[in-house]
Amino acid sequence: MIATNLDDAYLAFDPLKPLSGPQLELYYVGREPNPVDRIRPILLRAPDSPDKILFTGHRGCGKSTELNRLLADPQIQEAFLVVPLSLADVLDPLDLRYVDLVIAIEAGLYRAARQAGVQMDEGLISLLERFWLPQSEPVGFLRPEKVSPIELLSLWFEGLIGPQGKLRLEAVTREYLRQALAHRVSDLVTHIAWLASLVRTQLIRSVLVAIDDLDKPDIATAQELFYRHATTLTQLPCKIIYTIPLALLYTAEFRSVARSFSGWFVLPNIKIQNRDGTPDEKGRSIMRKMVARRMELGLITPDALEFLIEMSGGVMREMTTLMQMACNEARVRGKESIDLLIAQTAVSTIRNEYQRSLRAEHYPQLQMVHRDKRVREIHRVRQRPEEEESELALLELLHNLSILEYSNEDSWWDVHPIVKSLL
Amino acid sequence: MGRSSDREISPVATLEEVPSWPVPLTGLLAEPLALDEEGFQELERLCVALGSLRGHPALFLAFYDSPLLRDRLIAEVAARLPDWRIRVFKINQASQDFLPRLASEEGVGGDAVFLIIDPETVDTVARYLNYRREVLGRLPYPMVLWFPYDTERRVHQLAPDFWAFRRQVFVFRLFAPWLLKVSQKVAETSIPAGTPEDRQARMGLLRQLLGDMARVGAGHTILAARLHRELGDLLRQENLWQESRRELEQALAIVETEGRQETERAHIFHSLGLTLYYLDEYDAALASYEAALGLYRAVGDRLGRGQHPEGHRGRAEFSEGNGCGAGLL
Repeated sequence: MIATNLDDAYLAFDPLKPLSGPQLELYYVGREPNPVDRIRPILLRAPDSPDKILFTGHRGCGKSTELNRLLADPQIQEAFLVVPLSLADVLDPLDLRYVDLVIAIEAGLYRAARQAGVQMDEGLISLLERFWLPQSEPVGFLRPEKVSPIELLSLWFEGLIGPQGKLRLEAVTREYLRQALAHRVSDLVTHIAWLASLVRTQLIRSVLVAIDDLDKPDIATAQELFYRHATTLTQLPCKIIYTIPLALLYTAEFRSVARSFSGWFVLPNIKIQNRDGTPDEKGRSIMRKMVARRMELGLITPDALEFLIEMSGGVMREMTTLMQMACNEARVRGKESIDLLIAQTAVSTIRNEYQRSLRAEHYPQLQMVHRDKRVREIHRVRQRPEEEESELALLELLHNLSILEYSNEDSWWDVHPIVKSLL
Repeated sequence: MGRSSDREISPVATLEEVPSWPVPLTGLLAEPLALDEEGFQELERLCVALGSLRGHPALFLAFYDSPLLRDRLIAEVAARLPDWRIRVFKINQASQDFLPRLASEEGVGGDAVFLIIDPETVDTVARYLNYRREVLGRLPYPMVLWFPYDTERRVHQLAPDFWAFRRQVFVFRLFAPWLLKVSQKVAETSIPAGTPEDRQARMGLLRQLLGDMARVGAGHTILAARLHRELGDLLRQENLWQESRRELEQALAIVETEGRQETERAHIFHSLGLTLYYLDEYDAALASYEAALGLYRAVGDRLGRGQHPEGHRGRAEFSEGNGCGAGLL
C-alpha cells in the first residue's frame, strides 16, 4: 500500500531490510543494466552444469534484494532446489575458512533436500554416518538415543548450522573440524555430489546454492577464501552464487582468479548523472519510481525530491535513509509534506556523519578520485610500503560509500555527492 | 583490514539489565534537563521517530559525552513516552551474541530496547554488530544503541555495514550550564558519612562530574576545585592517600590560579595537611596546616584556629573519626 501520510511513509522507507516476499512485489523497481538479468539465463541454460558465479556491488545498492528476486523467480524455482545460505546466520565472518564454507554447503543442502521431501538412500546415509559420527563426539554433540540415522544426521547438521550452530558460535568446534577435515575436503565434495544427484533424480531439479553475506568478512578473509582456495570453491558439484566484497575487484590478483569462475557480475549504483556531471534522466526516473512505489508524491515537493535523488548518489539504501530522515524531520516540524529545507536538513545530518568519520588520510584520496574520476592505486601491484596506507584508506572509502562506482558502457568513480561538499 | 581472531569476540553471557525505566526521578535525575537548542531538537527527533515504530524493527545510534547526560536523556525519553515500556541493558565484555535473544519470538518484552555500550567494549561490539546486523531486521521493537561520543568514528570504521542499517544517528553533547548546575547541587549536598558503598558511589559521581566539567571547559573553576577537594577527602577516608594527595594538589593548583579564594584555599590546605600526615610527611603536613591557619585568620574564621597543628595528630584522628575533616570547620 502506498503511504498517504508521513507517518506511514516513515515506515515504508526501511533501511534495515532488503525487499523480499510481498514487499518485493510492492516496492521493487526494475533497473538497467541489471546483471541479474544476465545471471538468470546462465543458470537456466544448463541447470546441471556446476557454474560458479561471483556477484557483488556497493553496500546498499540492492544486492540482497536482487538476489531475493532471482531466487523467487518461478522459472528458477522450477529448475532448481534453491539453497539460500546466509553466511552471518551459519558461520562466523570474523573467523572464516574455506572448510567451514564447504561444511555449511553440505549441511545446508542436506537440510533443504530433506525439507523438499528427498528420500535419502541407504548408501548415502551409511557414508555420512561413517564420516560424521566420529567427528561429532570430540565437538560435544549429544547423540540422542532411539533416533533413526537419517534423523540423527539432521540433528547433527542442524547442530552445525542451526540457530545455535557450533560452526558459528564455537571456535573450538571450528578449529577441530578444520584440522580433522583439512585433507578430506574431497569427501565433502562427494557427499554434495551424491545429495545433488538425489535431488536431480527425485525432484527433477538441479541444486542452486546462493551464499549471501560473503561480502561481509573483511577483505583479507575474502582474499584468503577466493584466491587461495578458488579451486575448491569452484569444484563443488552444483551451481553456486557467491556474493563477494566489492573491494576484491580492485585487487591486482582478481582478474586471474575470476577466470576460475563462470562469471562475475557487479550490480552498479543507479547512474543519476553522467561522467561530465550532466543529469542522467533514466537513472533519476528509477529513483523517482522507487519513492513513488512507497509514498504519494504529493508528500514531497518536486525540488526536495530531486535534491534527495541527487544527494543519494544513486545508492538505493542511501535514498531510503535520506527519505525516512526527511519524513521524520517533517513530522518533528509539524509539516505534512517534505520541502526543500527539510530535505537539506536530512542531507546535512548525513554530511555531519561523514565528516565525523573521515580521517586526514582520506582527504587526498577523495580529492584525487574527484579530480580523475578513477581509483588508480589499488589496481596496481603494491610497490612501496607507504602505498599500503593509501590503499587501505581507499578501500575504506569504497566500503563506507564515500567513493562510488558507476558503470554502464564505461566505468568511472566519483566522490559521494554528500561527501563532495566536504572537500 | 586484517583478520580478527576469535578472542576479539568474547564468550557469551547474559545481558545485564538496568532497572526498568521509567524510574522514579530522584537525585540528579530529578534535575530538569537542559540542552542547547540542537540537543533538544535531537531529543525531539528521537522521540518522534521512536513514537511511530512501536512493534517495528529499527536501529538508532545515540552518541553521548557523559554517562550522567545519557541516563538523564533515557529518563527523559521514558517520560515523553509514558505508556511505553523501555528495557535498558548494558553491553559489556560478557554479552556475547546478544542479538538473537533480543530478536527471538519471546524477545525480552517491552516497546523499545536501549543498549548501553560499555566504553571498553566498543571495538568488540562494533565488529560483532557488523557481522550480525542481519538479525536486526527481526527485532520486534526499535532499538537505540548508546555509544560514548568519542567512539563514533571507530564504530563507523569497524562496522560500516551495520552503520548503513541505522535510521538515524543522534549526537548529544553536554550543555555546560546544566552540568554546572548539577555539579553545584552535588557540591552543596553533604558527604555521606555512611557506608563504604556510599562513599564509592559518591567518588564515582565526583569523578564523572569532574571529567564532564573538563570536557565543557569548566575543569579549572572554583566549583571543580571544591569537587576535587571533596574527592580527596573521600579518598583519604578509603586510605588511598596518594590519590587523595593528587586530587587535593589539583584543587590547590586551581585556586592558586583563580586567586581571592581564601576560604576554599584554607579548606584545601587543611585537607591536604591531613592527607600528608597519613603519608608520614609531617613537615609538609605542618606547613599545610600553617597555611590553612593563616588563611582562616585572614578571612576572620575563628573556628579555623582550632585546626592549628599544635597537637594536630589527635585532631586529625578526631576529624577522620567523624568521617569528614572539612565538617569540623
